[in-house]
Parts: sequence; C-alpha cells; structure tokens
Amino acid sequence: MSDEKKIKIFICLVFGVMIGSLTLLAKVIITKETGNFSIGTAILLIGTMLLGIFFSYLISIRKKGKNGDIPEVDERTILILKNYFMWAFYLIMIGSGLFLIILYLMDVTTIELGMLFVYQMFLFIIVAIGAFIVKKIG
Amino acid sequence: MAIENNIRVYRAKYGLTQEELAKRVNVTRQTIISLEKGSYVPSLELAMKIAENFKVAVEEIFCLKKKGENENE
Repeated sequence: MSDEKKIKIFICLVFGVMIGSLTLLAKVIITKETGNFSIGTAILLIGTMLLGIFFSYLISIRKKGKNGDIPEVDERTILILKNYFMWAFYLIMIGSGLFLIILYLMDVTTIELGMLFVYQMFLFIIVAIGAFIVKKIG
Repeated sequence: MAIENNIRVYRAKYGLTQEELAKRVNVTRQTIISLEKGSYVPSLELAMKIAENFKVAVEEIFCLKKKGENENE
C-alpha cells in the first residue's frame, strides 16, 4: 500500500472517529437536556459536519490550484508554531498559577464547571490565534 | 556568529524566481525570502537541498559570519 493511500485512510479514520464521537456527545447532551434525540437531529448533525468537511476540502483544492506545487507548510512554519506554543505554554502556566493564587487569597475554594468551560474556551482561542499568526507570517 | 548565504546570487545566476526555487526545494516562498534576508537559518537538510539544486557544495552558499564582520565593511 502506498504512503499516499495510507494517509488518505488515516484522514478518513480521524474524520470518522471525530464525527462519531461528536454525534455521540450531542446525543448524550440533547437526551439529557430535552429527553429525545430523533434520527432527524442526528442526520442534521452529521450532514452539517460532512458539509463543513466538504467545503474545507474544496477550499484546499482551490488553494492548491493557485499555489501549484509550493507547499503551504514547511520547516520554518513548524518552527514559528513551536516557538509560539512554547511562549503560549509559559504564559498559560504562569497565568494559571497566578490566577489560582489570587483565587486562594480571595478565599475561593471551589470552581464552577461553567468557569472551566470558559477557561478551556480561552485556551482554544490561544491555539486559534497561533494558527492565524502562522498563516499570516508563514 | 551567524550564518550568511549567497542564495540571491546563485538564484540570479540560474535565472530562477523565488517561487521557482521554493518549488524545487519544497518550501514556501516566504522561507526563501527569509533566507535571502538572512532572518532565517535553514535546517541542514534544506541547506543541502539548496546546494544540490545549484550543484555546488553547501559551504559555497552558506558560511559563518563572525559578529561585527559586516559592520566594518
């Protein structure tokens, strides 16, 4: 089996697992909140995800056509990303530590799950900003 | 010490555009621009690919520059 075929199979597997697990997660959450999870909802969820993947694929084909054989990512891009994430990691570690100390000094003993969701969203935003910066300067 | 290179000279000698060289050595055009400006030091693999592309030894294109060497010139 050629490497290209192996990569294609791997990508399909990753997307399959991603769609499957997200649908399962949605089923659990929707069932818990509303009590029923119909086939229509499942089709809508899976269809939306597949549509998203299809559009991303179309955009990547269009970009490939524009750029020809020039790769979009190379060793320099990876180096920029590595440096960015190193600094982001330091920032998050020190920032989180400071935040916890401040909370401790304020006599806060518990953290709401909702607040953790907000914190995770902040982490995602940092990753997204990193990807955007690399895209712009890479 | 830093590394300086003659990529621009060799590229002109072979009549290649930055895009064409990028294609040949399989990197982005921005990387070639950074290399020529001297703001990026390539990996050994990339340096050898570039040298191979111009059919010269790596040290013909890349050389060590001692600090302050350029300021005196």
